[in-house]
Amino acid sequence: AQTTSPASGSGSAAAPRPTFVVEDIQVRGVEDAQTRQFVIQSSGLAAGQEVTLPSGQAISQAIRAIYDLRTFSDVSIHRTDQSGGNVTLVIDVTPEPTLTAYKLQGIDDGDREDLKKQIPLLKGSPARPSDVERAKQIIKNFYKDEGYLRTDVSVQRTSTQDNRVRLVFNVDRKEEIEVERIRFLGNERFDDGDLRGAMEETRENRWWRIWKGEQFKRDAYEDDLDLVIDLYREHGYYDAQIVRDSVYYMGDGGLGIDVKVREGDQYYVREVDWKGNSVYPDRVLSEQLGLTEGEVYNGKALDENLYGSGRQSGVLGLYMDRGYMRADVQPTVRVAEGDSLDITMDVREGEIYNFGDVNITGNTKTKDYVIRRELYTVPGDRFSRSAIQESIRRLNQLDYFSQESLSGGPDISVDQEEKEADVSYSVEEVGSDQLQLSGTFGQFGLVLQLGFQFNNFSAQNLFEGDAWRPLPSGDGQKLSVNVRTNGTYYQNYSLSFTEPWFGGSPTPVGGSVSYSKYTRSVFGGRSASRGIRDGRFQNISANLFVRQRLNWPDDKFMVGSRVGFQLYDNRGRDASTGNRRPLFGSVPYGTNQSITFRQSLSRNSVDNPTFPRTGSKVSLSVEVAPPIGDLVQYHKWRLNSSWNVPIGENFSFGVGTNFGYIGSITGDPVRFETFEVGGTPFDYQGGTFGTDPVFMRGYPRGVIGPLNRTRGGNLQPQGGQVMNKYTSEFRWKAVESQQLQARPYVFLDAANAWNSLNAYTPNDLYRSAGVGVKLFLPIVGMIEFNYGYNFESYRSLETSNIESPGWSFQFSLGQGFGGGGR
Amino acid sequence: CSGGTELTYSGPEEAYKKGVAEMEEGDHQQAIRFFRAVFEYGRGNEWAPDARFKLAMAQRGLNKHLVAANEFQRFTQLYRNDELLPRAEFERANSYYLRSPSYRLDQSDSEQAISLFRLFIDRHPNHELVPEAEEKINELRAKLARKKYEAGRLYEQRDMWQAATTVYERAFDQYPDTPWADDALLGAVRTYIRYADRSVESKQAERYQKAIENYNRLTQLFPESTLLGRAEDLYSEAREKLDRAQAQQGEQSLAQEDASSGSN
Repeated sequence: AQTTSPASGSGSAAAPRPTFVVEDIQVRGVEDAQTRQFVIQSSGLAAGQEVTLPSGQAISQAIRAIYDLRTFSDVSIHRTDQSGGNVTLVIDVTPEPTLTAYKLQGIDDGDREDLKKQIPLLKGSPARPSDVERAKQIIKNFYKDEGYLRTDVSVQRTSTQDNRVRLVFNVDRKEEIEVERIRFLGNERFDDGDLRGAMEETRENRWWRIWKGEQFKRDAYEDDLDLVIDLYREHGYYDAQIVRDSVYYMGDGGLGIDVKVREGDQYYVREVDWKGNSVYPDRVLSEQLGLTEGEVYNGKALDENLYGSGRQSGVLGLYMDRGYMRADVQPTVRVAEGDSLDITMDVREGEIYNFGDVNITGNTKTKDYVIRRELYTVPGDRFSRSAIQESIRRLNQLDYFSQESLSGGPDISVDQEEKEADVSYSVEEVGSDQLQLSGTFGQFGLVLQLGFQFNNFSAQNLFEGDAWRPLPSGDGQKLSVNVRTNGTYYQNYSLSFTEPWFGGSPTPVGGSVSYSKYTRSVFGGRSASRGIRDGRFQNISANLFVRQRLNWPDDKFMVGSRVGFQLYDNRGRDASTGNRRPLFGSVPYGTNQSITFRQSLSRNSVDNPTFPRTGSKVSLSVEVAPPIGDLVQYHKWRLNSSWNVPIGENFSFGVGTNFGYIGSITGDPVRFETFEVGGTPFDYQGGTFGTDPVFMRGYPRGVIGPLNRTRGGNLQPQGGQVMNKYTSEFRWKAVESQQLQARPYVFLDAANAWNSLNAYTPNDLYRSAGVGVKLFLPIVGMIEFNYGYNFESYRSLETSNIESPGWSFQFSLGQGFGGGGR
Repeated sequence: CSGGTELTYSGPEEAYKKGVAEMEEGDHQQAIRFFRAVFEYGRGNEWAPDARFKLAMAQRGLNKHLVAANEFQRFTQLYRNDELLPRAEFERANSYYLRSPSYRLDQSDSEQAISLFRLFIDRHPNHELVPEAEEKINELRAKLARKKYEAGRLYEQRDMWQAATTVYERAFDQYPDTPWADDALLGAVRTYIRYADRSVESKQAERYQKAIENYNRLTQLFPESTLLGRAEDLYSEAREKLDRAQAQQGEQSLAQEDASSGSN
């Protein structure tokens, strides 16, 4: 549709165009008077207005405005009744039919949901042909990606009276096309199998891969061809190329692929020559590049080590970390003589850039300073790529923001004049707070728990009324409050608070208090409840801690100090004799108190606290309970470590070790805080009083390590003084969304605990292996299941029977087993 | 939602008037239902523009500022000749103004409000609401200035002197018209001195000099500032240290020890 003016043909170029006064405006093409009025209103034209004709600005603007309503397929404006300087304008419109509904036929419900999100058609809106055509294309592309290359979409229009239309998209996916055969021609150095192996997505259909048909995806296929060439380039075939490839249908609905390669010759590196480099000497750059003179030329390594890939920073990375953000290296590879290549690296270092403004957007809850203090990109500092990477890692660790918003990195805008790079972090807040009311059925019946976990609390705003949404937040403090009870004989109250940056420096300070009370005997770990009358068990514990980030050896180190106080009051009586017996099994009779001092040193470079993929965590701690007066005494040493290695995009491997030793200061026996191994955090939901549980997959609570018998003849863990534990996990990042994160894994663990250093036999371990999954749901928190096989027999605490190797199921809520945590 | 009762009205006029009455009663939810009813008689009917405008105001009454902003925007698109148009443009900007949170949080809404208020002023320079728009722009810019200034404070508190000087100077450069401009300059004076104190000798004089330059800007541009007293003390300190540093550099003659340009 164009602005047409019957009077003159195309607009006159030079002559001044006459202006007219609009006398009246009419609308043709719609019946409804209101719509007519609406069209006029939308056009922005009004009677009495002066317009230039033909093709004045007001007219073209009016047409555009009416188009923008998206209700008319055709719009044009004409003039009639021209008399003198007055003119009447006629707006001709052709309304689009309104879409009453559209239907997708011939597809699955799941696909329908996904497709409806993409299709640009709206009920009640005009059904424009372009949108219908796009919808068809979207459907086709959708199925193309799923391997249905021959999907056919036809549209059936049912027009009703008053210009309405109903659309039915009939989708015929046809047969799924699978790749039946991939053949290579012209290959000598590598056989077909090697080359097929180089392809990642494009695979031949094989009967043993029953879980999936090998679909054909065009984009992935193109990439796979590059991978084939990469395989050659990796092995010195500098000028290998794909001469021709064809993808064709084979008779039985499958696809055949023929790829013809020309391998060329295998080349060796004769010389690597750096030009233009002043910041780094040739030696350093060559080392980073990794091409050695005299060896087979590796074209893939050249690319990767030049521009960096994965964690490897590459030659450019060296420059990027020293402020040369515009550095560039152009490699020129020349065939020298015979099978030799000379490589010239032309380096353009450019100038040093500094960080300019460092901005933060998107933080609707978390205050600027909580974010800014984590950033390594500091205004005025030299530009550094690793500073950006480190900043992102830190923000990720806060757990306040969606990974998607962080993983893209900050926006960087460069000021060429000032040689500055402004950095802007755009975060998206996700709720990391947890509020839970849960009921769990366990060893003392149904326990109700009301818990709050605020990971981004604000104590500063505690007394500001409008900051309560639902609680004051945004200062990055952690607060958790928990109340637990089974209604009759068990209660627990706990509160903890952490300020991660005390006094503006990275010095977490915090504390917690907790009170627990039991009035009936329960299975307390070391003694069965049988034969004990009611009594009272109370525990009060409190602690304060300070941790401090160190700058040396690097800033991932932290030292921690903790002062703790424990009070146990444990009184019960034997049901038959009436003698004093402890109500809670793992703690001696009467009142016991201890004051503990703990020092720890740790280093943490893990990328994500809940689901680590890369990085490591090591911590060493010493705890001393001094023998003052009646206080309980011991000294205790722990060394924990975990290491995570990413494997590709979606997998990672983690190993952990866990060593512990507890000894006596005075020579008296150690009665508290010894190690019992086995079970899950869930098994200890009633409290870990007086013991130090070490969780272990594949074995029930407390069965590993020295056991003894109670006076009643029941088996109970004695508590080990030496403990070793090893874990390994191979994890898959299966689901990563706001609603659910899931990491299925396979594991292999081993652990044991021993009476004393004399009894310590490090090779004597209880092993287990199996599969499991760790889930994170926003409201519930962490859930972990596993199905594990115990390789070693153990004695059941309940029955005293020997349990042979076999499979068992375990479950934990709220806290994972930890790859090396406890 | 205040009841799912059927609305009764005989036409757009009655629906509109009932909506206005509900609004006066303070029942925004019900008012919105009546205003929506007006559009059932077409978006071009006589009462539709006013209903659209009031609908947006009712959304504001429910603290739904983003919804309100969208309604005002639709008004400006649909009724470009209506006399309420400038008002709607102003109120659209105002909706973002009302959403603008504390300076410690994301300021996208403030920036949006500023640009919409400016657009309003450009289009309707003689409108009675222009002074109010200008006042609000100033208020929002002061907030942005404070945000930047506090970033400087953070770096200063953590002894990151170079970053602090950079950010304070930028806070002044970008927001010289706000109440935080003199604070930013004073911050620059203060942190340049600390920065120089901890710099290698060869860089000290230059940085004390910078402190003095910022002091001069402060006294010239803000002769009324309440911060001048504190600035005075810092100035004498900088002056003294500059003299000493220059004297020292003189003594060191031409032995150019400029190996490391870094500091801190």
